[in-house]
Amino acid sequence: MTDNRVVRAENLTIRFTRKKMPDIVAARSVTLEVGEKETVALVGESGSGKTTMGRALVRLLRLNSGTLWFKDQNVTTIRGQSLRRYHSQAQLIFQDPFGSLNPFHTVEYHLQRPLMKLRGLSRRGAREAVLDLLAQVGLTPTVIYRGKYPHELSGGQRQRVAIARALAGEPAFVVADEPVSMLDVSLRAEILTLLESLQEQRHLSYLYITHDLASARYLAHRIAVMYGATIVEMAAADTVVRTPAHPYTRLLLAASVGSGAVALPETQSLAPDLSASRRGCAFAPRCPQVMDRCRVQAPKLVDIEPGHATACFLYHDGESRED
Amino acid sequence: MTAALSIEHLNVSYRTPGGLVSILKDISLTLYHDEILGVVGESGSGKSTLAQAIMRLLKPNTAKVSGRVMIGRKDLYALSSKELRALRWKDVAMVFQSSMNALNPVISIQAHFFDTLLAHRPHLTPQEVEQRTQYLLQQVRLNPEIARNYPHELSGGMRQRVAIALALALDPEILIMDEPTTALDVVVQRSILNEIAAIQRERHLSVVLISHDFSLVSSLAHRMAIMYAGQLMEITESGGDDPTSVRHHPYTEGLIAAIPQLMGDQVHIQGIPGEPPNIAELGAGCPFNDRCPKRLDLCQSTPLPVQTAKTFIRCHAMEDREEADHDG
Repeated sequence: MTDNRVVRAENLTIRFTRKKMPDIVAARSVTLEVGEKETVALVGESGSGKTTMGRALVRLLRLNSGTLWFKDQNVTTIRGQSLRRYHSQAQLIFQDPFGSLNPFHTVEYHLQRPLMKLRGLSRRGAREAVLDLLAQVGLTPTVIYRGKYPHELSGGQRQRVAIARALAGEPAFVVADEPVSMLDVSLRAEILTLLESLQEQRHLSYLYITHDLASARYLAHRIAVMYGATIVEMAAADTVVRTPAHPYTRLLLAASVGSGAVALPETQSLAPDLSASRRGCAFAPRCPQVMDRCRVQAPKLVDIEPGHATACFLYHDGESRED
Repeated sequence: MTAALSIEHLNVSYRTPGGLVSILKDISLTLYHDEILGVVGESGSGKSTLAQAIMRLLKPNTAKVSGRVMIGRKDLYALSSKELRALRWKDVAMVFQSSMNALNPVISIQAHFFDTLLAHRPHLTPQEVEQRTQYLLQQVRLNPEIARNYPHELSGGMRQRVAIALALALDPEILIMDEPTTALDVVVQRSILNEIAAIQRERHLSVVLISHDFSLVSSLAHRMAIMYAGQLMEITESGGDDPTSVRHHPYTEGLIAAIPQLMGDQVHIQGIPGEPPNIAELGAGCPFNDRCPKRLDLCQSTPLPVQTAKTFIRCHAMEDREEADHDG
């Protein structure tokens, strides 16, 4: 798909075990790639597995099966020093700017730690670099913000600190997990445009996790739609919004403000089955175009045109695949 | 159009250790029969305080309220607590974001309907209550069989639907909804909002829909009231079918420019610089002045005019233009 891939997940499966309950499969053989200076949006409802995928890609989770590549390096099972090196290259911005900063520490402390641990700067060097980072995320005058505690900052300012912290190790790849969903509307645009300009300046690649198709279309080059632990559709951002193929994407689009749709194309509203024993397509129970085979066989993600893939039997011409 | 509910010169201040902090400043707003009035504001703009003040839910020892809230000829703030209790839920019902968590975990859904219905209509027989429950659950598109279930057995979306069904139980004419779908997923949110719109049309309800989400409200509301730092900045004449075709307050314009569009040609988004002000430290002028691209010298110190344009917009900068229009 992309020539200069930065991160590639191949057939990644993440399974959570639970006491006295069946396992949950939060990502089921997911293949996903983010190119250099590219933004891929991962869109889906809560429980679809998008946050799990984000955490897996920066190796905060153990990967049960599949392979994770960072450039030419296989990072699936790396540990210790190599994992730390990977963490300087792949960083995460969390959704909740109120929960992701330690209330007992200043802004400077939050930024100094990754500067020293991931970039290997001395304490003195880190002090200088903190000011630089703060300027880059627009927290000026930097000498004032350096000494502030999280409670002295607004939500938007905290999220800027979180972004600065993610940048401290000079990463190539950043997962932004719903970075604006807890912010007020007037501040969201500022954070989105900040992410855009940082990408330009630092040649960053983003995985932008969101439930909001409109902001995904705005920020991302490509959109991957996730449902029930699988990617059901992936294409250029405009294509997903203008010519959605998968019935779930069409439902999500119809439900989004500004789509102009009146009715919601679904038969019933149900949470998808995330158990390991699931058979067939996760969306089948809600799908208005469900066919018999959808309930027994899981469709694979295949190209229906160059650069536009979907996992739906409506687009598989008569072929039969055993899963 | 007749008024279902009118708010007249409502002022609310919270009592804090540092003295009174004024939250709502001179809000006058009319909800007409058979309309959805959207109230949009960011966190800290006072929109939830407004919802609570409408229902007289603010306790006198925490908040000081002046002004009137009229429902028909009754002023809510002049009623005795007994009269107020009779009116709440029967005439005006509420759905909050947290409503789905307000269901009692140890009683069934059916029992909630018994509580609500019998409190106001003690003459109902158990069969009548059950029938009514079935009908109400169907109205919000729930399977009536879930009446036997307990709240924890339902998903968040289902519980919020139950909360809406409970709000409709006594056939209120007015429904106050404060972020009724905010915690829910996109698809669930849309399907609940569709049902709210359908029920509103069918029953000719008057609905106040309060939310931080400008685009969501504009897709549903007939008119919108825009709040900022405890003041009403604008009341739009229509919903958001084509929000760019009419003139708006600079703050409203800023909100519209900040929202990525789902369809259409990709336009740039632009945030509003700065942060919302601390409501306790506001000066006399327009609370938006330090973030406003159209700021004039007088904006910082001169209180907002009551109404500057033919439509309800409160802005010094737009006052001049309107006069110029008249002269021309």
